[in-house]
Amino acid sequence: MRKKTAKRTAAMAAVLMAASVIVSGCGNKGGDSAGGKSGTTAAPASTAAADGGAKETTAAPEARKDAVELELLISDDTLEGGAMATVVAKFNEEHKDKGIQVKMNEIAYADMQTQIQNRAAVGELPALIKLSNFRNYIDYVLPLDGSSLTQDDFLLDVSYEGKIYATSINTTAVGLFINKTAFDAAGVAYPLTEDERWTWDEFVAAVNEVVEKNDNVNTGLVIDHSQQRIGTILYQFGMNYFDPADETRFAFRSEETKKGIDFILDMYKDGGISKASVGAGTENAQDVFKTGTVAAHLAGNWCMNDYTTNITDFEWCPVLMPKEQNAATCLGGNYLYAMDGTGLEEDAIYFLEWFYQPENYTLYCETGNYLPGKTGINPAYTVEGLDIFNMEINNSITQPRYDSSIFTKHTGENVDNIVRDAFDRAIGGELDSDGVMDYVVKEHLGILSNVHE
Amino acid sequence: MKQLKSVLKYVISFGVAFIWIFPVLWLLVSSFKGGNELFRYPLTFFPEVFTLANYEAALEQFNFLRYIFNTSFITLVASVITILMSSMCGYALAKYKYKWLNVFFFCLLATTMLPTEVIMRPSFTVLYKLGLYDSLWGCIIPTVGTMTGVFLMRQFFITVPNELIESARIDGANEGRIFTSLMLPICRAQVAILAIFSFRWRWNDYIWPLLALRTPEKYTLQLALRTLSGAEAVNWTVLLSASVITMIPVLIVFIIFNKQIMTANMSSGVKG
Repeated sequence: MRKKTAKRTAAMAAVLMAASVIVSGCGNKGGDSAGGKSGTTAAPASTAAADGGAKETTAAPEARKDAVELELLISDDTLEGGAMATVVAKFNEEHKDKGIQVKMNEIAYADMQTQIQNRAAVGELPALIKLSNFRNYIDYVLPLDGSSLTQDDFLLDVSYEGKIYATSINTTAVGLFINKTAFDAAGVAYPLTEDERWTWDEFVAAVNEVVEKNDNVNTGLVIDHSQQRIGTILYQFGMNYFDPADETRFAFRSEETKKGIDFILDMYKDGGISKASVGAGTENAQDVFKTGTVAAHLAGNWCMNDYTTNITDFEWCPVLMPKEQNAATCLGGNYLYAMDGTGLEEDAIYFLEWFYQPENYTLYCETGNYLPGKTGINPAYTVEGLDIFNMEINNSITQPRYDSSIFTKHTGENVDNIVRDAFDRAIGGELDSDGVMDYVVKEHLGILSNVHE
Repeated sequence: MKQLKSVLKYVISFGVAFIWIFPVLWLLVSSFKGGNELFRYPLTFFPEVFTLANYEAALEQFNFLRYIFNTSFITLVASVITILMSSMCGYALAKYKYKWLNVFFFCLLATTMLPTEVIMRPSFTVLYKLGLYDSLWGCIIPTVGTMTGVFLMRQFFITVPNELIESARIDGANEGRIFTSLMLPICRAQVAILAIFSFRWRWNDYIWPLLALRTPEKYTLQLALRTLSGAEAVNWTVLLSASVITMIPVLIVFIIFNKQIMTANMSSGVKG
């Protein structure tokens, strides 16, 4: 009996293995390198751009014998509503007889860097990438100065050393969400227009009242564990990273910054409006807000899709953030760019130009509820409240953009999470506001070249 | 008193088992909850509204058959090679007496002191030079040589009396025959243990598929699952249902090979 079972098991394993080998066609045969040409040599798309002359759009490729497949390496598209998949499907449909197709390769956001570095190391880069930065890979990015795309078309800085390298595919802005049901139940008003903005003290009073009048709400505010979100509050209190008149002077240490740091740290003390566990990142602010036990969440427009889908037990809405000395928001965003050395550069540029045609790009923004990264686009969104983020962008001081442009000049000198790390230590009781400033200044001066205090 | 001890033993055993199984049950039950229920406070164990929408979304988003096939292929082939390599190597290290063999063994043992992360870059370069980049074999070859397996087999073969091998030689069996007909059958329990370990390692492997693969059609289940964690958000509903789906093949394997797995565990315990 035992023998029989063993024989049966061995036979099953053998059959499974044989089937595996046959079906997989294992090994690296197909040569189907995404972003490669499946035939011999594809006829290049003709480019009409001429140096020094008016820039024209790259001409549509003629129908060709050997199909070209552009690989687009991307993350988060499905999570954010599949906007790129929709637009790529449109492109592929329009170009099905023209020998050019785009194939999306969606991987995890956290794996993008590993994948790009490995593929750069072995010379197998994709034709196109969508990612939150391009400067880290600048040696491999295709300059777009031969295309019809210009820096003026885009809201984010997409240039490097005077040349345009990327396109800003969408922008993100920091903003505030409230538990509308709890605010309404408490009879507390919230700002939807510029003249209704709270000061931070008024905000604290408002959320305290909401917590007091709602049994199920026990926390006034949660903030993402993010340097950008902390920085936004500090900007509102008047903090600068760099001196507006001297980009080599690191101007973080100031009375305004100290006031902002003290205000934030007070949130996490006993009796404060927030929770240390969220401030230090052990609890995820976005998930905590979804429990309905929080009055407000400082996050950004990227939460809209998630909240629309997953919050049905209470009403929520974005409102204008409080201001102290300034109204301020920090911009972020993603870039879409082509890679150099793939042999498909002209086709990649053709896709980029097609993508940013108003009809196609508007479809992208509307499907994913993205704030446009290109000028002159007015999407009709399916979710309400996104205008609040546009108001934040339009009314924000310019210092965040100025600081961002200076940090960009220090590409490769990584200072990404210094402020957040300092706050983690401060929330844990290791540093006070002076300690935070000392730490932040010391770390920045140690990393950034040609910068002084 | 004896009865009390027995009851206590059961209570502790069930308690420990419950602590282990509870998160798995939570995962399973939560996969049938809507997104609005997942973070509802206070938390509830059972779904208020039972939904299969998460599974529909998961099946729509992922080509599970392809990913399961890729993962199964890697797991199966890597496990078979691991077992063969480990048992042959372990047998040789235990039963052949050559000069420097022990030194060689300790050199091999020393490799366990190097974390995989340290040798990842050179291993990747070797993998690429061998033409294994973007191939399922690229996830198999770097992982099959495991010192844990070799050590396990060597320690077992040391306990096998040399007289057994010598009498086989006297009977005219060559070294290959001795290994395949005599040694392999008596180390079935160790092979089963190694097979179980290897199956789990390869099925859950994340890092090598991440490094070695770049074509979506070749991705494994673990790589696919990871795409549900984004820069700013995690699609919890689909992640839960997709995780449950990825557990099903392992569960099927366990059900089919339940007897062998349990026997292997017990035998290895007796051998101690």
